[in-house]
Amino acid sequence: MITAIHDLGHGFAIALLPANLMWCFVGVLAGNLVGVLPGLGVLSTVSILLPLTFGMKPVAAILMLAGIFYGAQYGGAICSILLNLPCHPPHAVTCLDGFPLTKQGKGGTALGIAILAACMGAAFGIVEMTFFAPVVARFAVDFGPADICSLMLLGLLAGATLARGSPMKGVAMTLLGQVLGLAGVDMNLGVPRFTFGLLDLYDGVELVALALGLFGIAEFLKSVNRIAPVHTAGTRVRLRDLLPSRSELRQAGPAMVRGTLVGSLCAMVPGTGPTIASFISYALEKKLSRTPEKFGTGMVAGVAGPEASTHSAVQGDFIPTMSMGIPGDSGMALLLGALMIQGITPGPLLIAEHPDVFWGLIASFWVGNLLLVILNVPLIGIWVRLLEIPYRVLYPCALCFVCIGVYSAKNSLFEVSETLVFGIVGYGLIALRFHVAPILLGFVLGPRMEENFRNALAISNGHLDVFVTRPMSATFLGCCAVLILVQLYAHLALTRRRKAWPGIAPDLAGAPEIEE
Amino acid sequence: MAAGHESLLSPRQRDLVSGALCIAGGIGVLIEARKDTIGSLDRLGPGFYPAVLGTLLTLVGVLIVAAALITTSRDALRFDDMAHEAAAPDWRGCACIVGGVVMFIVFAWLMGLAPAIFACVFVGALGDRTATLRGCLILATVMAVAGTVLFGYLLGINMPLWQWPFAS
Repeated sequence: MITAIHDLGHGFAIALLPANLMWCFVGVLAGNLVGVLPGLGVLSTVSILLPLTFGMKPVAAILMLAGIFYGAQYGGAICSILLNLPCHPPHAVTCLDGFPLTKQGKGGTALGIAILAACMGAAFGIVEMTFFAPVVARFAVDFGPADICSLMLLGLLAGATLARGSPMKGVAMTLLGQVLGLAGVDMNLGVPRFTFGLLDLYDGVELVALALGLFGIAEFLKSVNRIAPVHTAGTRVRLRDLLPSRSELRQAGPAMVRGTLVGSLCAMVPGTGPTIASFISYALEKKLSRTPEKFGTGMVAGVAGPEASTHSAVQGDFIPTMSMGIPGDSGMALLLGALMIQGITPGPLLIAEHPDVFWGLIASFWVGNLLLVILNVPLIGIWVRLLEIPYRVLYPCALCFVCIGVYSAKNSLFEVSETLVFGIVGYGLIALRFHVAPILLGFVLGPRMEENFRNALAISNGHLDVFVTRPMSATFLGCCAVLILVQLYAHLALTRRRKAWPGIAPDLAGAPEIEE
Repeated sequence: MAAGHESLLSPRQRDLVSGALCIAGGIGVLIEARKDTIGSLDRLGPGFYPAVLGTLLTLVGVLIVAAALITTSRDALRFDDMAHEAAAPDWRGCACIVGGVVMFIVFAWLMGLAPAIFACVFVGALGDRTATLRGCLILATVMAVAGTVLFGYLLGINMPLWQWPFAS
């Protein structure tokens, strides 16, 4: 406890260095921007900015990339509340009560409540990470290869099945990601695999090329001519509109607390990110409310709860990523990939071996969230006006950034053509209703899982029972089994009784989503 | 977003195609994995893990096909949460985006950064159905100048900014 506070002080010293402060600012600014802009997602932004970080120090790189993730959450709320546009999936449910408030002329209040809820959720998530992540890491240090392998299996399975869409298609995508991760000359085996005789593939598939293909080019192919121009007339928000009244605060307060707790719970379960947290929180508020029928007509609690839970889940998502090296979703997988490019091995030893990165990151969360409040409260009008940038200007520019970014990763035009191939394949997969995000999860975790699998078997002299005789490994495998059974049960129950999830299912159907 | 984008395949057909693709992919991985030794359990060869992945992928493909065959079309809709996302492709937009990337590769290879950005943005921007030739030219010129300054001068990208093709 005391050491954590002491280390955090050290972290602040790092995060407040001018260079790091600047990159943190760039990150949250970029995040806030794409959160507002329709048609550009967090994953594509992180991928576009990823090549920029290759020349940076690890701390600066990670501060900036992390800033995009939580910065986008602030921007996403603006879009949902003022324009009924769920630019950013975690905020899709905020539209339900946020937009009716705007129509009643109380859009400013809704935004104020959202920002307040954001601060609360984020603060709780950061405190949780400060004290919880080191404990998890100390616990995970004793994991052997078999335990790590089973934990990764759980992570992959959860990431594939708990996200949106068909669970089986999700599993297929993680497998595809792992196959892509096979390409290249393996360090331990010394044989080229899946290179198809192409020398350029001996180093393996480039993370940047894969991410930009799937989340950049495939997204443009999907969205071109589909994003309607936005009219922001009549949504002018002034600074003093943001201040909620006392009675509104009294309604929103308990919702924020509950939302925060829901969010941090969802962050603990691998595979359930901010989007699921926000839906659960909304359903919970509706259920607990004395006037559930008023939800959807502009209830303050329907904005406060989901917003708090989103932010607390986003911050909490960093815990398994940083303390065990197991990313909860594809965004965190991308962040993990960025760490590995910097030469940092993710895992339970990360906090001990790279305290600068870990504590600097936590301190930068405080700094970044503060910057975001400063950016959002007085400048709210500017963000609203940014919404008017049409997609037809946006995507050609983003397209050329994608090309340049991929090229600069290895100074090779081969990577650009690789990206194009991934983009076209990714679009084909999306058209077949596959969610492409789990590919990245498999791609990042696959090679490490193979290595741990091989080590586990080498240690046990080829006995597969090592995976069930070690208690931790057996526990994780048990969780995998439970996960599969729950999926089967839910599938059967839903087939029989289509309204098994009252409160959520109809809302889900009503809220369109634009990006993973 | 515009209404009237009909999908090319019905949900059931889509699942059948998806499953078939997974099976084909899985078998492809298995064939490729056969080139390396499988090894034994205490000494896994390089072909072992790919063989496992290939088998699993084939299996998942079979399950997807089986599920598509037994479920009714109403159930298939349960997972159809991307209905608005995957309508028939916008061919003009897609062709221009792919063309833009190809243009980037060709012009970066032949002439350097500035022409590559110009060609990429210009061709890409033509994909929007409301685009005008003038607007695309302006956007491409602005991006070429800004991109060359940002990436060429400030970030020092490792690519000639401008050269005549075949000059060397």
